[in-house]
Amino acid sequence: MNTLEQKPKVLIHAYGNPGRGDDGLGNTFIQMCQPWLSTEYVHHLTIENSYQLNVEDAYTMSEFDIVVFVDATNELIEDFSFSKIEPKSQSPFTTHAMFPSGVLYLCGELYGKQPQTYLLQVRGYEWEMLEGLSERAERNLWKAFHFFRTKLEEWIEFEHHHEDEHEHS
Amino acid sequence: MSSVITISPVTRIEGHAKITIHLNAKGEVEDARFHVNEFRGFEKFCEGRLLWEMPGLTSRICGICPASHLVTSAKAGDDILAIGIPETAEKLRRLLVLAQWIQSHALSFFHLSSPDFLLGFEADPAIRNIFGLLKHDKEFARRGIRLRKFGQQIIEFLGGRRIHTPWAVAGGVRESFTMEEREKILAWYPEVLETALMALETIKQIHGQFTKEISCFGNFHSLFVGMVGSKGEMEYYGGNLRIMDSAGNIIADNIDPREYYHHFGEASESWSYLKFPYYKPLGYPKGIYRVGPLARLNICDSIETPLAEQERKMFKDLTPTTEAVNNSFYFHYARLIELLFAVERVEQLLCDPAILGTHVRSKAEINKLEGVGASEAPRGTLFHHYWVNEDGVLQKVNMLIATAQNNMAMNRTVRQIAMQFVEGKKIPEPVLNRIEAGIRCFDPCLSCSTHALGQMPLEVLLYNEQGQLLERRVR
Repeated sequence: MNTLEQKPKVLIHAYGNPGRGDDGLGNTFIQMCQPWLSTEYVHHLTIENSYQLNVEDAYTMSEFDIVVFVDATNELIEDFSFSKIEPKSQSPFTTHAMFPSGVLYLCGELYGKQPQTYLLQVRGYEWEMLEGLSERAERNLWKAFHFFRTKLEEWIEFEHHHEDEHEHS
Repeated sequence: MSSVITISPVTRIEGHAKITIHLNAKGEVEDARFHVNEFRGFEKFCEGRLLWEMPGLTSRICGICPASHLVTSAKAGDDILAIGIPETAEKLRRLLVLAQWIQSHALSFFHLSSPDFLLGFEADPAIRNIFGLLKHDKEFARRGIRLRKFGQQIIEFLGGRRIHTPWAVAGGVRESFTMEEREKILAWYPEVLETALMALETIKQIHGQFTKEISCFGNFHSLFVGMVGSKGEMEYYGGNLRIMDSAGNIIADNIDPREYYHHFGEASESWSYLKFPYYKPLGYPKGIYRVGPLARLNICDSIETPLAEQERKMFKDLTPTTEAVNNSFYFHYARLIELLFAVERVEQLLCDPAILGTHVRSKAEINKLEGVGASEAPRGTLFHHYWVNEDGVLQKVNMLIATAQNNMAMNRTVRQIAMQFVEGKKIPEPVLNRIEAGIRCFDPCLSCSTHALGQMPLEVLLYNEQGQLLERRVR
């Protein structure tokens, strides 16, 4: 049998400013994840949102097995993208644009941990001072959310299989 | 032929800015300017919103010091409700402001400025950053992160969320502090005190290595402005305004911050969106003044915590007479004294039984149509000024932000450093970095409140007087 302790600890960290239009995509994503904390996921999942990534996030992520950063992007992608992040030293450094790869690098260097790290980017379009998402961004967000929900189930399910294989061996 | 060299954006500060250096035909620095390209318009955005929404709304101005905007906005709300807030609420708000100081000052020193000090201005820019720092001294970087985390943790305990928390409200705060939270923070205290003291020792040791920089990093006469308590002690939440000149004379004292607009005006320049506040009796630009750690250390007569008070006395000894410490390089030293004060004061507040009180909010209706809130944000005095109608709907908003109040001083600093170090039309990288470092003394926060991945290269442009691009450097 699988136990709660053997399943991966997952951190979802979304960042952005909900006062700047679609920059709030990450924050809305976190609100959509909130109901999971009332289910069995609560034992595996921690969610966090912030305005921007910063150095101390390296410390936080060191306590997890899987970390997913969620951010709005103005890159020309269709709706969303999901990619694995590798640690990378940034130069020049600005706290204004601390990248997930840089935070992961710090995590490895300072705390000797390398959680599996992913970046979920959701395409946004409007960045002015307003609250609420544009229609197109909201559509992208729902697509990203459905994708991610499946991904999360896979991770946990993967652990089931892994555990089962172990038990059968 | 004259030339303009542009450094854009400045790295390791929050937000977007650029520096242009104007050379004359001989290649000598004629002028240098610090430009801010981001137009905020946040005040307009707030019009039509309800007073009770303002703390949460204005805390979104900035990802670096949201708690300062939160508290200042709540204080403006107190003024409009015309009520006093419960003792516990005031102490909790004070705790929040101190936590903001700790995390902001820790970031400024450990991760933004110390790479220059510990690795040197001459070091390869590829390593002169947090990543290079952790190769140099991993434990130092780790301690800086823990210290910042300490401040963040207090903010999280108080607000429930790390940023944009609407925890402080007009009339007090929404929730009280628990015994368990208090114990967790107190258990952390010895470590952060040790780190704060270590940081102070570090800065004092490096002063001797940077005598040339110290002499010209914003070393000029100006006024200093900030809040002090009723006995002249360092204040960060309440108190009245004091204005000191560079000779150390107090030229105005006991000014109610709610009347700030009688004393400070705001000038504009066509080349920057950031306003240029000045002291009205002296006019613009003579009324140049500085706010923030250097100003607060200069104007106060004492600090209420023992270790920080000892350091304050050493700080005062930087000048042989009673004159103010005029050199902006010492912002860093002053910032670390404040960091120590904040750590000590957090412990004092947590040991005060009133901090666990449960009566945390007073309620009232709109009793005035205009209100001002002020507090000492990490970078200096912050004012929120609101006008509402009888229903509490915002009619007009004015915010006087600390970074803007240092705008004239930052420009003067850039010019002074450029004149000292720039020779000819080729500017070596370490010289560029010194100019940026001059700006970083003020730890300006120009947060544009939005971000997109991959948009912060450092670009250096060299133009001749016809506007032709002579050289472009990006790092």
